[in-house]
Amino acid sequence: MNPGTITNREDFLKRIAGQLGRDVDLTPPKRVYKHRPQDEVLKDASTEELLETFRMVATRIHTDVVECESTHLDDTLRLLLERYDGKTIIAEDDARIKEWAPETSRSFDWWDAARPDDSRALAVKADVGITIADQALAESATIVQYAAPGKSRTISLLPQDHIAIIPKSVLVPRMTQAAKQLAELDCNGELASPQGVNFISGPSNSADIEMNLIVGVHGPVRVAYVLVHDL
Amino acid sequence: MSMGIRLDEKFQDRRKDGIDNPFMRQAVSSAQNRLRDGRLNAAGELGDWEAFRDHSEEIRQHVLEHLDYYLHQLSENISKRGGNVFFAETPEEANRYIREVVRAKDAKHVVKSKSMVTEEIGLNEALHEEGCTVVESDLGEWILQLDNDPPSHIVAPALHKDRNDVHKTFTTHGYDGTNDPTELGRYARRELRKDFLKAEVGITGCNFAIAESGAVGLVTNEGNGRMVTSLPNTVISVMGMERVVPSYEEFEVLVNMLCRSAVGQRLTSYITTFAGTKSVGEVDGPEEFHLVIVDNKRSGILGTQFQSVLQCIRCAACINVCPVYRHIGGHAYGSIYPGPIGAVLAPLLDGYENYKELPYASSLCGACTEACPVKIPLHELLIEHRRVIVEDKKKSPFVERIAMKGFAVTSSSPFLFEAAEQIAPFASSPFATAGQIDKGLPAWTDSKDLPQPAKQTVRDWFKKRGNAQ
Repeated sequence: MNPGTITNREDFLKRIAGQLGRDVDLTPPKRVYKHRPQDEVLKDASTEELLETFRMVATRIHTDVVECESTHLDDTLRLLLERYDGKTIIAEDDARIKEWAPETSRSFDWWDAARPDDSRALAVKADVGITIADQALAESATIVQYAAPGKSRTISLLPQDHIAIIPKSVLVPRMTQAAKQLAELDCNGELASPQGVNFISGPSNSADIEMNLIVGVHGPVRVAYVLVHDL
Repeated sequence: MSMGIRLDEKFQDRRKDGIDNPFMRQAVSSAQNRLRDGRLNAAGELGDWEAFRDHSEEIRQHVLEHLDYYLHQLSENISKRGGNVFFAETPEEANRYIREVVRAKDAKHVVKSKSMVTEEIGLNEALHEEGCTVVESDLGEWILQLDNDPPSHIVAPALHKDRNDVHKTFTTHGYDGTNDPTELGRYARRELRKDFLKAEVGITGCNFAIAESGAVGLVTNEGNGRMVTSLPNTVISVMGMERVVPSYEEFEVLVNMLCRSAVGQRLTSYITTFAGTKSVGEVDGPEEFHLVIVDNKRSGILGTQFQSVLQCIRCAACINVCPVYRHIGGHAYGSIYPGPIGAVLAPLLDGYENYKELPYASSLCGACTEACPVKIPLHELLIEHRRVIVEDKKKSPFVERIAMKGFAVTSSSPFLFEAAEQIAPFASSPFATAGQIDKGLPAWTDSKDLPQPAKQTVRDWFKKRGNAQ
């Protein structure tokens, strides 16, 4: 990747340092914090308790939660798509979806980075987008999607509805754990974190008109989490 | 739309407009109640809220003390990830750069997600001069844009409008549905979807930039931030220079505080980070990325007694508890930053000349300071502003300067003080009805009454009481 340009930096930083009463100092400062309350939240929660929190918060944010074993994922997805009346479906190009739902996935369109215009057009007109969560956060009923070559940032955004398959093994207590992993990828200067990360908690919404909650503004109107217990 | 920080009119007129608008006052107080209760619930659920405030404060203070380091690191990493970084001292520099980018792309359609700093620098007007259509895609901002009305709250910008106002605005724009909020929302979805797909350039603000990762983070509920950063080929993010955090770990803490403090949610629907340009093999994300870091008088606040105001994460918790905002509404502040944070920030960013009344638009009750998730001592900064205005700038309202001077002389002499006490009930009587001072002093009496000074002074009362015993 070609590095980008940096303009006007020197004077800008000089002005800041001058106001702080010193010269520009580019030695990495020690980050010593007296408090670290984030590690305490849900610290001793069991997996079952985390799941309970996840379910409870998902309901609160207008998100359907369906749970199954991997052997029933094919049927579960089919029933869910029938309930959502989803006719056109676009799915992440992830071999696991075909493996887990061999029958139901036959009718899917697949995101194909080699055909960018077609993929975008399919996502725009799709009733349902299907993704697999890279991580899930119990506290806020959030799924995390990392951008990566071949993957899409918009399957979970452009279609009318979004279904996220969540292997139970990706569940962590809260955003703290996800952030720690991301920070570790970059802390030695390698910039190995993804080019984009989406923390998604339920459907798109707005309260901009009289503080009334409108569910489904620019992004999905309905979101379902399919929690798979043995994955 | 507003141009820059300042709205029109004089403070006294704007304040009166607010007080004389019962719908607005009702809307503001019910919104304040809901947002405040939401914050309190979300804070309670988190557990040790005070420890989170302490931690958030120390993160923000650490960043400000080392701002040169973190901005350097951020710009290095954005550049390594293929993005261009432009440091702008003034709004003019920022706008000129952004116009050049837009011109080089030969772009005609620009779509924006919500950004206070672009309001602050008057970017939309600059882009109009460039011959572009600029569409605000946040629902509240879009309503205001169609209506040519400035925001009145930094999180809920169209708070002062009801569904009938929105219905009227949309109808003028071609809508033929009812005033049901969901139906109105669906219309915005259909209309704005076209803009997202058509735009050559997307422009965003920045809630926090992550120095160590070279990433920009956006906190949204509607999903417009994701649209603006995923669909257009060119993306420009504009950030106030203080909005940087060291790593994803601090980002997480502050995002949690922002979501809970602003809207009472554990996390908003979308927390989105994006780092430079998209990778090879990705369809979504920008081919070209620019980060514009804006000073616009912020550096002048560093190293002064007002430095802590730069800790602000723009959650509006202080606005949602302010009794003065409740009565006069957002527009009365005459700044795109209303409420306690606006009363502290606007004079610093745009001069005392235009905002010398704002530090007085406060009851100094301290509710703002208590609500602030990053522990900015807001009411103390308001007092400090008053001190600067009175002592250093000599810009306080004339009456107040005379009154304060009078009080200093009078109270230093027992004889004069006693005389003043005895005169007070009579001197105030032209302004009073039934013992309440309620007329003739509009700056005070339009919004509140004051008991008329008692005929008997406390000391007289005490003396007589002593004699009686």
